[in-house]
Amino acid sequence: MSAPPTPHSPTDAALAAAYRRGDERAATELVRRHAAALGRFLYASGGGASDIDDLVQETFFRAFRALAGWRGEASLRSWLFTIGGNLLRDEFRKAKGRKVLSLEDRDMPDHADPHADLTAAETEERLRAGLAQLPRLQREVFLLRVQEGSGYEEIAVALRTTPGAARVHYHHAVKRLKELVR
Amino acid sequence: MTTCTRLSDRMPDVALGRERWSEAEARHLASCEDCRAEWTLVSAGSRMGDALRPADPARVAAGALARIERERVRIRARTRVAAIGGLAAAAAVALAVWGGRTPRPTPGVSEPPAGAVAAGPATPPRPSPTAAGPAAGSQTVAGATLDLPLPELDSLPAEVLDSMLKALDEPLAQLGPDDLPGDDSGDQELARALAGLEG
Repeated sequence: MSAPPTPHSPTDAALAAAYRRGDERAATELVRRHAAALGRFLYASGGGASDIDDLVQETFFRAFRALAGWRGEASLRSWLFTIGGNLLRDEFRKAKGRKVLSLEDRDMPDHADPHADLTAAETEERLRAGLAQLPRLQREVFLLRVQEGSGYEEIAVALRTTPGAARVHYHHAVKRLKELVR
Repeated sequence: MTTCTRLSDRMPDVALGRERWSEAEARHLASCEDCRAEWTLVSAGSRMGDALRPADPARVAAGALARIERERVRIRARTRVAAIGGLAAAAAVALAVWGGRTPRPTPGVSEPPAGAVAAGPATPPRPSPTAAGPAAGSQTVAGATLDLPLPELDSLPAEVLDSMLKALDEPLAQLGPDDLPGDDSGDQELARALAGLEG
């Protein structure tokens, strides 16, 4: 998990402004805060585990280049997720439909109970496979909700939809995933 | 709001450790198969990717910033090349326009037939085969040389042409009274007619 800003640390908006003024340490701090969550989002969205570092770096490259376009309506993390989602879509198109999902090179969770390991790993893989079959909006709403705990208002801003539509997308995603993961 | 909907709304926060189930909610979760299935999805989704090796923030930031710098350099170079190209194109257009400019015709000077006039610095003045200097066959108009073909002069010897030029160049003030035209009969007739009228 990424470290959230403490009450005394600068906000994401302040760091973004500092970076735009030329402070590269602000950029490093933004990466430190959001890289892990972004990596998990990209992995859950179908990115190969061995590609996550490259995908995270590419997402931050795109984000820093377009930082003036972030107006702070959605959180920086939601905005990063949107850029990451666009990146995955581009990668998927470049591969001309080749599945970005790589189920072989994942890092298995390290638990003491082998049975629990297997069950958790199986559930995770089935969930990843199910997520890969969802429409993009449903997948991203589900992940923003369950990985970040984002409310529908914030999700709506980040994904340029309405809170009501975001709620509907979430429930459609859950319903479809129940069928796929069962 | 049903218990299932309320649980569904709270699931992400509980899965992320921000909230806890109440006893009533935990009992409902144990008894409702639909909620249990959703809880399995939400809790698995919230943990997904936890086992990934965390990326080194300094390395990720350095890589992204280095790419941005490389892109800036590339854009600057491209802009410079485009500017130089634009200047060169503008200079070429200016030269073409300047080189192809025709002199404005002087009022009163009749335009010679097409093909007989060579104007502008691109075409040097054609030397007259017999007459020396531009006076014999050409005129200078506003800095440009205008060639007038006068084939009847081409056959004359150089001495005759020189004497003609000399006569043309002499001012009228140098001529004597005998050189002036002597035919003033019109004036004398007019004087006689006036005298007759006056008586």
